[in-house]
Amino acid sequence: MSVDHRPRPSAPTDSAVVLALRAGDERTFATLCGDYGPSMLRLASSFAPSRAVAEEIVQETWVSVLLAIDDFEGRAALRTWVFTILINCSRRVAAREGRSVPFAALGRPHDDGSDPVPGRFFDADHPRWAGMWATTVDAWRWVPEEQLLGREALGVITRSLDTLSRGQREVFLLCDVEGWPAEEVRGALGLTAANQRVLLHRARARVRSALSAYLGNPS
Amino acid sequence: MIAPKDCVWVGRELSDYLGDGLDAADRRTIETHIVICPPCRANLAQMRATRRAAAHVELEGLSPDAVIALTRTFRSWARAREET
Repeated sequence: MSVDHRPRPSAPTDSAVVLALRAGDERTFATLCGDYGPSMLRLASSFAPSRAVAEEIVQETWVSVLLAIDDFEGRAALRTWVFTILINCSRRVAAREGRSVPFAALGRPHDDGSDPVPGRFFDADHPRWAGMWATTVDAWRWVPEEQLLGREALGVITRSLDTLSRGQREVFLLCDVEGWPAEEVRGALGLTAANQRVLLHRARARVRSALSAYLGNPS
Repeated sequence: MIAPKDCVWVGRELSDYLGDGLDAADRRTIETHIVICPPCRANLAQMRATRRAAAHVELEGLSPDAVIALTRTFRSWARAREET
């Protein structure tokens, strides 16, 4: 099942792109900036006190990418490499801005352990219904595609990103908005498979709740 | 401890199920479960829809000023490279 319509640079494309960059091809650079820019900006925003600073982080990231482009060996995908640099830049700038977030908030790999949608199941010690649904899941699975993918619904998703922990947001952005494979996301964010899974699940559940509220079935 | 095949378990594993991250046995368990469990079926449909919608989210891009600055950066980098 493919849900992603965005271009997915594969390894051979990567090497062509890198060769073009090394040769100083401006159009290749502009395309790359256009493709990665929005997600880079959104990720950087989590670390920055203002949009201007977030844009600065993106600028700095590209400068670092260009300065290191000869060292790129293609062991990871180009975008993984770029986003790893972005995260490093973001942390550096956050420290410099004196806005460094408390360590606990940095990625929050273990999160807070709470279920994002509490109270929906009977407790594990319930004599009869343990582990079963305590509430009905209202089905909005028949929501017409044009409503689900309409501007308003997508706006709800975009705003719900603000309610996620930074770690959840990073994983959700790269996995579901950008459509990266889980392994690549782990590489860029430096997460274990288990952490990545938990973060993604919680993020999706939260975003889904926001969507449910919008679609008229608060859950 | 959660029993392996109840709704809580299915709910936890749905994300992996959607991302093709589960082994065949677990996938079968989920597929069998959702046939007999309408809430889990609805839950799966919603998670799947959320994921599909997320793939269509358009995030805001860089400001025109930032794009101009980036182009300038690239040009001076490329020029410096040529000279060395």
